This record gives sequence, C-alpha cells and structure tokens, in this order.
Amino acid sequence: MKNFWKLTNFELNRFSKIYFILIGLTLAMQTIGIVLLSSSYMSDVEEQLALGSTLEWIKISVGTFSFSSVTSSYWFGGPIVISIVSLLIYVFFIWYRDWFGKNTFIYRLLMLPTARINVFFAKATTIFLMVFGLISLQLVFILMENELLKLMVSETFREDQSLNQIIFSFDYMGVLYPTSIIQFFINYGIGFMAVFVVFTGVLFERCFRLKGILFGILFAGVALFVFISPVLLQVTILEEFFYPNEIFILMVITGLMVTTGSIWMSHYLLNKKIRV
Amino acid sequence: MVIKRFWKLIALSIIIVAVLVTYFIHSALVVASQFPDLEIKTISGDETTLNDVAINGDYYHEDNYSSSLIVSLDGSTYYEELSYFEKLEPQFPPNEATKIKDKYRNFMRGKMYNPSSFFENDNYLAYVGAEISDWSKNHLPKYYLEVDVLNKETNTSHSFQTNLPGVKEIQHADILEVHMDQEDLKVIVNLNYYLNDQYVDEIKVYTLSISAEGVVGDQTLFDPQEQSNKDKWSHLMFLNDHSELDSGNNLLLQKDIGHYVEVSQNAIASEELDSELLEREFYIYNIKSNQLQELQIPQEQYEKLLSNEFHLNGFVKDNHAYITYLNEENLVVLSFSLEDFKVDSKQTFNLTDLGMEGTNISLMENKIYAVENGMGNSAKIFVGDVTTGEILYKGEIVHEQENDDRDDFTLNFYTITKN
Repeated sequence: MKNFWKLTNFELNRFSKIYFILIGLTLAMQTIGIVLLSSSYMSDVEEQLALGSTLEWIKISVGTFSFSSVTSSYWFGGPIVISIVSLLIYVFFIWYRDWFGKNTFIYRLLMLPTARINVFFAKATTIFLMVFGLISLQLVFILMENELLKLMVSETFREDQSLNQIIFSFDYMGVLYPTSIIQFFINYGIGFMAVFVVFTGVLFERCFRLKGILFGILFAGVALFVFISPVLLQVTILEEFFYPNEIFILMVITGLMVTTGSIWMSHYLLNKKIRV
Repeated sequence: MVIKRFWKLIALSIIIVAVLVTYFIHSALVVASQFPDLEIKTISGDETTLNDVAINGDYYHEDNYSSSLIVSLDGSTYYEELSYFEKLEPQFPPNEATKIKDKYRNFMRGKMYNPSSFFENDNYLAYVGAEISDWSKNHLPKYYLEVDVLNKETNTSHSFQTNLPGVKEIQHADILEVHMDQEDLKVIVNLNYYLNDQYVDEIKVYTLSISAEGVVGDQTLFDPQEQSNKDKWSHLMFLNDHSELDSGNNLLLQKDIGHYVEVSQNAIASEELDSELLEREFYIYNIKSNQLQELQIPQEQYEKLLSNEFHLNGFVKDNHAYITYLNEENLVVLSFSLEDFKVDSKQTFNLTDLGMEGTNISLMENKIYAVENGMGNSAKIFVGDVTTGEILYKGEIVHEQENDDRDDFTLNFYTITKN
C-alpha cells in the first residue's frame, strides 16, 4: 500500500507542471473572459446612457448580463476543452513516456520490489485525482468568477445566478456536475472504466507492438460489447423485457466485469508479456 | 517529512473531498428548497372524500424551472425531488397500469402502461396491445394485437399474437377498451385512416378467442363511409375514464357531426374552410349484449351540449350514465337511466359560489371532483355528489407555511385520480 502511494505521488509530481499550467490557464482565461465581456457590455451600456436612453430601454435593447453570458463563450469553455483534451492525451502518454524517455524508465518501474499492478493502479489513480481535482477547482473558480462579475457589472444590469443555476443553464456542465450523487458516480464510473480499458489497450500494444494494436482495439470492442450487452438484449431479442432498475443493476454488473477484466488482463500482461 | 514529500497528493485529495462534499450537500439543499410544500386545506365538508385521491399537475417557477407534482391529503410530491431510482419508474404520476406492475412483475414485462389495454377481475389479468410489426412501402405501420392473459390462480399466462382482420392501410390504431367474458376477450380498437381523402375514425369491436388464439368476430360500431362524406364530417369519442382498467360493461360514446363552410376573410385572401358542428349524439354501447343505444337528450340541454366548446366529461356507474357540461358559471351533471336511456336527474353546481373559475373535473364513484386550473399559486377544489347535487367537500391547495407569501410560482392542475 505504501508503495502504491509513493508511486501515485511520484506520477502526480511528474505531471504537476503541466497540471498547474492547466489550472492557471483555466483561471486566467476565464478571468480575462469575464473582464473583457463585462467591460464590453458596460461600454455598450454607457454608450446608450450617453445617448440618453432609459435604464429600462437599455435592459431591453442591450439585455442584462449574467454568468450565462460568460459560460457560453470560448473564454470559459475553451480552457475546459483544453484540459479535457490534455488529460485524454495523458491517458496514453502516462505510459509511453516511460518507454520513450531518455533512458527507458519503465525498466526501473518494473524492477521495483512491489507488485507490478501497483504501477498500473498508481497511473490510474493519478488520472482520477487530476480529473476530480480539475472539476473541483473549476467549481471554486466559478464562485470566484461570479464575485468578480459582481464587481465589474453594476447591479442594475446584472442578473445574479446561484451556482446551481449556472450549472443547470449549461448542458455540458450538467454532465460534469450532476446534482444527483448517483448520476455523478454513473458519469465518472463509466469514464474511469474507459480509462482502465484504454490502459489495457496500451499494454497490449506495449506487449505485442503492431499486432498488439489490433488486440487492444479488439479488447476495447469486447469491453464495450459486454458493457452495453443488457441494452442490446433489451432492444433486440428480449423486447423491453427488463425494467429500468434491472437494466441499471445489470449495467453495474457488466461495468464491474469490464473493469475487473481490464485489471486482470493488465496484471497478466505486466507480469508475463511486457517488453521493455 | 511525509507531508513535505506528499503535499501535492494530500492537498489535491483534500480539495477534491472538501469541494465535492460541499457541492453535493449544497445541491441537495437547493433542490429541497426549490419546491414549496403544498397541502390541502379544508374549507368545509368531509375530508375523507379525498382519501386515496391524487390531484396531478405542474409547478412552474418564474426562474424557468418546473416539475410535475401530485398533491394529496398527505401533502405534495414533486417529480424533481424523487430519487434517481424513483425517477426510473415508467410514469409520473403513476397510473392504474403502473400500479399492477408491482403486483404482477413478470407478467407486466415489456407491456405498454396504457390502462385501456388491461382488464382485471378476480381470476384473470388480461392485456391487449396494438403493436407495430413492420412498415409498409408507403410508410404506413402494420399493426398486430399482442395478447397476454394471466390466470391469477395458477399464475400462468397465455400469450399470442393476431392480425387485425379487415384492416388494410391505417395510420394509427389505439386500444380503447379490453373486456374479458369467460373465455373470450372483447377488444375495442380505434382505427384511423383515409377514406375517400377524409381522415376517419373507425371503432371496431373484436372478439378474440383465447383458446383459438385469434379473432373470431369483428364488428364496426359506426359506418366509416358516413364520415368520408366530403360535405359532412363526423368524429367519434369515448367518454369513459381511460385511466381506469375496467370501464364496466357500458361504454359511453360521443359522436359529433359537422360540415365545412367556406369563409372568405377578405377580397384578396383565398377562401378558407371552417368547420361547423351540426349535431352531437351520445350512445351507450353494452359490451355484453353488443347493443348500441342512443341517449335521449331533451331539447334545452341539447342546445347547451352542442354549444359547449369545452371537453365534455362522461362516466357510467351502475345503472346510470353521466354527462357534464359548463353552462356559464354552472357545472351541470346530467344523469341518464340505462333502462330507458332518458334523463332522470340534473344537478347543478355553481362555480361562482364555490369561488372557482376554470376547472378540470373527474367523475369517480358517483362523485364529481373539480380542481381549479387558474395558473395561480393556489387552487380550489370541491367534491359534489352527482346523485343529490350536494357539495360534500370544499378545500384549497395552498402553500403549507401560510405566512410565507411566495408568489414567484404558478400551479396548473389537470387530472384527479383515485389510487
């Protein structure tokens, strides 16, 4: 266990620079977005005021300003997309950097006096922590940015939104931040299961190289098939046989099967087939 | 030492746990405070008339969120406040068909939750669904009947599929009523199709033999040729309560006959067709005897029934059929004897006296239940006896905390059901 945490800490440290850059980029871009959008809004308002328009008329013609005006802009969504893409790339890179470094670092990792699956778990945990870390910090950032917005735009033209209103009013935020805790576990559970499957795919490639890519894709295909098999049965031969809560339980079971299958297969590959 | 070495890991973990726990507690509190607790406040009368009664509607908040809700004597239940698993249930509010799902879980698998498709008595639970097997070349559905009968005593079910005889190209098929009589099933189906370019309703009564697994008799209640007449249209409706599993042996039908009149709006615009209602007839169809009888409506009521644009409600109980309509501020209930098919009593409920404007009504067990649909933040209700005209109960759906003057929401109630 101690070795696992040491490895996790080590993996986290290796990506920390880029991770801090992603956090900084998110905060910076979103702050700049708020400053730019709200000052451009306020200058429109001032222009209208200079023309002698009434406050009511400005509210109708220019509109009011709310946090939704920011969330729908690239300044807000851009860094989120960049972070998601970076972490997706890192799901692969977290393995390949050990092979393609200056000296094959994987050699040292595999020779550590600990179970090799710990290396696998440490890398997976790192990814999970970084994902949860970013979504948690984003929540804190939204609260901070909302306060900043209140400083920038005067109350007359502002439509204040609570945290939940900000999240409800935007679709992809609803996927990242479901209000139901079960839905949260479903969304991220599926995501993390996919990370395990991709890790196994990468290990297939690392074991059998070109042929391994095929095995990896095949493994991912089988995993997907197993995971969605209750739904496939439901819409084909069984014709709406299962009740929704039964489908849920079956998919929890197939999801756990895919995850344990991935871990077991990775354990086997790391111990028996891995090439340095 | 440990902290110095692992600070990033520790800090990240603390942030994650602290932020996410706070977020979920906060969200749960926000959702819980979004919807006000509503209650039924009695103004006068006997509260027990509302036992097992559910009033269903929608809640709208001015901040653009809404939820379906059920109000009963126990208080209010909002769909949005249900747990993840409760939301997986097929219908909200639950209907008669979803309720039997809990009792006959295996039998109910794969069935549509349309109460009209079911029949239940002490020995059997029967289901007939109109399902689509295929689509024809001209994109019309091909329907068949899916039949399943459960013997409650032996807990075995008998299922089969059968085609709809005498049916060619139809747009839509709807099961209106299923009735089981010993070994046979009577299924009343509404078919929609084009006949001589006119969209017609054809009401078919199929007799299905369970042992022979097929249709052994079919009858059409009104000649669809009559509806295909271009100068005259007609429309058929079942007034019985569709939310009940079994509407009894007598079904109440409404037949509207009208014609198209050309109205020229001005000299430039082309002439438009407008439809005008000419006649309105009511029939009782007895499933057992296969008899169709027209209800005899006195002239004074006939004019009112014809001019009533609101949806008319109907209901059959024991030896009587009831039809309700609005006459200015009065809600009128006509009672017809099923022996001579004539009006034998008329009850009037004055809505102004009751302090109600628009209402939605339901007739259940010789009682009329009415709820205001005024889109306010409260709604009045009353229960009346359709046989005596007596008002049994008056009440109002209000916000539980009386001193809390919230007017940032509106309520719209549309159905009243009995559990």
